[in-house]
Amino acid sequence: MERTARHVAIGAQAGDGEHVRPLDPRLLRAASAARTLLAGTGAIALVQAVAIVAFAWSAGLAIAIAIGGAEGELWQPLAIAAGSIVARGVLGWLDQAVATRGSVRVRSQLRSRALARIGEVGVVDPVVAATGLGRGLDALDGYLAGFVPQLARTVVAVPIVLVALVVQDPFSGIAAAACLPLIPVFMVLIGLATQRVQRAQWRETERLAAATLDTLEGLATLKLFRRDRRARALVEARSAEHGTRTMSVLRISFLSSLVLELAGSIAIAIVAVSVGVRLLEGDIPLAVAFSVLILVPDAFLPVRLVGTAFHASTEGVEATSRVLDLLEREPAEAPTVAAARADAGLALTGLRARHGGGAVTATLQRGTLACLHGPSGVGKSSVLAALLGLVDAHGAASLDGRAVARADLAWAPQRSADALVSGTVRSNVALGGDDQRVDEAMALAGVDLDPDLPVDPATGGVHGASGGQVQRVVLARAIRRHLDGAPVLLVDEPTSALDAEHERHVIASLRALADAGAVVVVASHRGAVVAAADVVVEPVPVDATAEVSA
Amino acid sequence: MRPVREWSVRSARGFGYAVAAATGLASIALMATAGWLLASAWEQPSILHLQIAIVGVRAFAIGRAALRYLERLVSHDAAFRDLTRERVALFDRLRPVLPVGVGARSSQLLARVVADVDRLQDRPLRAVGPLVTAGVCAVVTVAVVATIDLAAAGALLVALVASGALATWLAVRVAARAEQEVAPLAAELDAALLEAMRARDLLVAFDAWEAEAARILALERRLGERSRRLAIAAGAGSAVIVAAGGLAVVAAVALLDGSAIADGGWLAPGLVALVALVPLALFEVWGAVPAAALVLRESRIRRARVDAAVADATVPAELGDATPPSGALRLAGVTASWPGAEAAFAPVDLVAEPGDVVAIRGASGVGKSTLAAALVRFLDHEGTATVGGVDLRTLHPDAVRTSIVLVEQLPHLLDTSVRENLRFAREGATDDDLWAVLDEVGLADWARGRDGLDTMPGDRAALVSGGQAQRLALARALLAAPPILVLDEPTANVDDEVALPLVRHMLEAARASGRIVLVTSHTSLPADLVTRTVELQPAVGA
Repeated sequence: MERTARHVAIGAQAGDGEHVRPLDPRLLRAASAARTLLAGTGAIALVQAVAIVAFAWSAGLAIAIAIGGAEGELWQPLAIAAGSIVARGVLGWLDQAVATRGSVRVRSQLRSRALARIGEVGVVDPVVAATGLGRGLDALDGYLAGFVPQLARTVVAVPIVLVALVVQDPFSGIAAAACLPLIPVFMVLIGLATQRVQRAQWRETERLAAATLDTLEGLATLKLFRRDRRARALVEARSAEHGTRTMSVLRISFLSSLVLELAGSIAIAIVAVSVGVRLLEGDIPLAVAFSVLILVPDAFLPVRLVGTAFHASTEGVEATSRVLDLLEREPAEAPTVAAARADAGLALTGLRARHGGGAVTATLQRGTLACLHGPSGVGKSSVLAALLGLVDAHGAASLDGRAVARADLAWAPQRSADALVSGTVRSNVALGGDDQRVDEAMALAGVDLDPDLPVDPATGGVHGASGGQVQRVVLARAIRRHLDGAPVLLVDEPTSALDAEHERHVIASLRALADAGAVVVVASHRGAVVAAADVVVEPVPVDATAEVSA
Repeated sequence: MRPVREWSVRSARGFGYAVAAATGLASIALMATAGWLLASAWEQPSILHLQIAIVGVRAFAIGRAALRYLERLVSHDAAFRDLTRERVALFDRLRPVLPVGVGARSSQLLARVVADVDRLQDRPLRAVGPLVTAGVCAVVTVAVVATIDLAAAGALLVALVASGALATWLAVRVAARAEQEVAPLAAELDAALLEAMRARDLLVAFDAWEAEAARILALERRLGERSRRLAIAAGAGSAVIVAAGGLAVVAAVALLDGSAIADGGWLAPGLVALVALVPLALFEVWGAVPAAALVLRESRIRRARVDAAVADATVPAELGDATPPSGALRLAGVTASWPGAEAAFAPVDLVAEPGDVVAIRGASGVGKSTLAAALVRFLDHEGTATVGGVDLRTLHPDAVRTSIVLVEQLPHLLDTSVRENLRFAREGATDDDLWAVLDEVGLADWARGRDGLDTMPGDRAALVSGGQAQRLALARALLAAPPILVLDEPTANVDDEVALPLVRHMLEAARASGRIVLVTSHTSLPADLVTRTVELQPAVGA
């Protein structure tokens, strides 16, 4: 399961054997706000612990006085108790505010760095990446504003409470201290058992989310074949399976909180009974007995809460570790610079995508309309992607004897429906530039749509527009970028959905742009494009064994 | 299947609430018994006198932990099954209206709706459960304290109600504005991220990535500000309750001062200690109230959003005769348009006899695809459309779709194997059948070169270039073998070398089997095979 699901993870190379650590040092390095948060909550926890001890001591004394089991003025301990409990509340509030503020800042820092990084390295699966950066990182609040402050409280407050217990009643202190170590021992055992399952479950959740969406998005197709009602059973079965799987994880996960609860409860029981018995003998003052009873739960509460907070935060921890993995990924390998003369135009030497597909060798001077030709699957789109730096490239490329820069390239991708962004037709054509030459570009591409029509990529593009119209919008965008200064026009199957008339128009425009000095590369298998091209280039399948020796 | 699966979700959930309440009560009883034990022991009676309390302390201590474990299992199990029910309910509401209904075709909206539905389980788990527990514990504790001392019970009640109300009011008031803004903003961020990830290559290639990232980060900053406000509210709420718990102890002590027998009063010291100490345990349970109230609110908003997203759309009702018609297709004055758009094309007339091949021509965007959608009853049409003399409007849409199969221009491939993508068109199709249709559409070699019928097309058909997706869709339609086949631009992405032979092959097969084929195509169709041509014109005035 873990193996097969791995290809969908954004940080696909995340170490499977790695455990989710309570505090990932990479997080503290990556987000300065995480360090501030930790320091702030630690300081607050210290003051809070003092308030807790003060309340237990004063309230215990007050109850004893009220019963008649201790001497003294009642109002004094009551005033201290009231003051310290109010202080405890206010500090808790402050703590939450500091932690949440910090968490939000960390989230922003991580998102900002991840987005910048994705600009360089790309994404493996868009849906998974979006989920991980969106809801996944939202879950970071559970970790940074929930778990981390609680961890600080545990580390700081528990020793203080234990010391206070020992000072007041050594036996109770020792009893509580003896119950506490049981917790980490069991937690580690149970934690080890759940860790791997948790990771698999998170992926399972992602897979389920994607599958549910996939079913809903494919509903029209399912309806066409009257399988829509059947899909209902599929949704139901997937959801039920997810529930069953998750429950089997939870049955173990909840054991750890059972251990926590038990340790705390048993400590209270031991202390209450032992103190009770010693009171019978008159060996212990009543005020101390009450103080100890009030204080013992506070030695366990933070530990119990830290356990709960940890379980609530695993989703956020997982998402975080993926983002941190992503930050460590390497950008796509660019082509090396092909040796060529300064007036050579676009020179390609054995250029191909590293992951496969044919290689292209050609020198395309300015004014050339080249057709990248060949049956589907030969790697026409991959060569363009390699040139654009979108995938790891193998081979070399140069423009006028220098390295090809992204600013040199204007690209019209093939799958037009995925090549639109939200906005209007006009804003799509203007993408990455301005409005100035939008009309000119639309005319050249033969776009006959209202430029103010809204565009929603999720619905397949422009409401009511045909595939051919969308294709021409995508082409218009590339032409606009070319008009704005990118000398090389890379066009992937621009006429596959066009009627003959529109195809003629598009080819004529590309011809005119080439004649005006552009290098136009059209990946196409269509006769009309081949006929219009100055040169036809076929990607050459690469013999893997030959390459090793080369 | 475990027996617990057979419970109704309701009773499982009710049982969960009951166990949750019992857990809270055990926790309070532990503190009460322990307090009573200490104060009574201080009076130095015989140890036999304390035996019950000692047993009670131990029983409540272990019971509290065990009940908590049980409660979590029961409530989560109920929640997961309820989630399945909710998801299916969502499916049931979306199924009739897609692809026409609402903006629900938009995957952004769909993703949000799916996420909202998934979070509806917060209501029983994180809102109702804690609220029921807190309520039961409060009532029982106040009642017990009232039998001991009415004034102390009154003080406890005041502390509970005041702190609960104030904390909830604080949390809800500050959250009210922020929260209504946060959830849509988070959804907006999710949608923006999804679109950015999908268009990443494009945005990078057009140097637009930085701008897009900046836009997303601006959105995320707004989200952050609002989330912060929200969390400050929750923090204030729990602060109020922590303080109230301690102050309730202080109040109880002040009220009971001098009332113990030992101090010259009338109450057993054990009872005084009990009354003084129970607030500590009670308010620990009570502390869940403001957060639970917030979750309750949030769930209400989510529910409303789900309801709003899946508004009703006017689509052909799933009613009517279930007998699939066959025979001649007649259109008289038929026109159709997508909801919200003007009439796309002028009314069209057509008669097609079995064996006819009708070419539907028309400028791009005139509405060829709209006509195709209307023919399979995704859309209602104006005018009259009949098959074998039966008005399509009198038929159940499924009956129509048995007779008329559409190959969409942008077919959706499910994220599953080629085999499964084909097989839903015909139940019980053998692998040989599948290979036969793959061969017909020229995909057999492609599939053999990969994992055969187990080849995964990949997410959103990304691994299948446009051509292969079209061909798979075509294969799927051929497998269904309907009397009427509507091909919307069947060769839009198919290689030239294959397109003509493919179209010829299909049209010949269609004619031989007496099938009616309607085909919209931009490539020229073999003239000898097309028996009729219909020209779609834009609607007058459009």
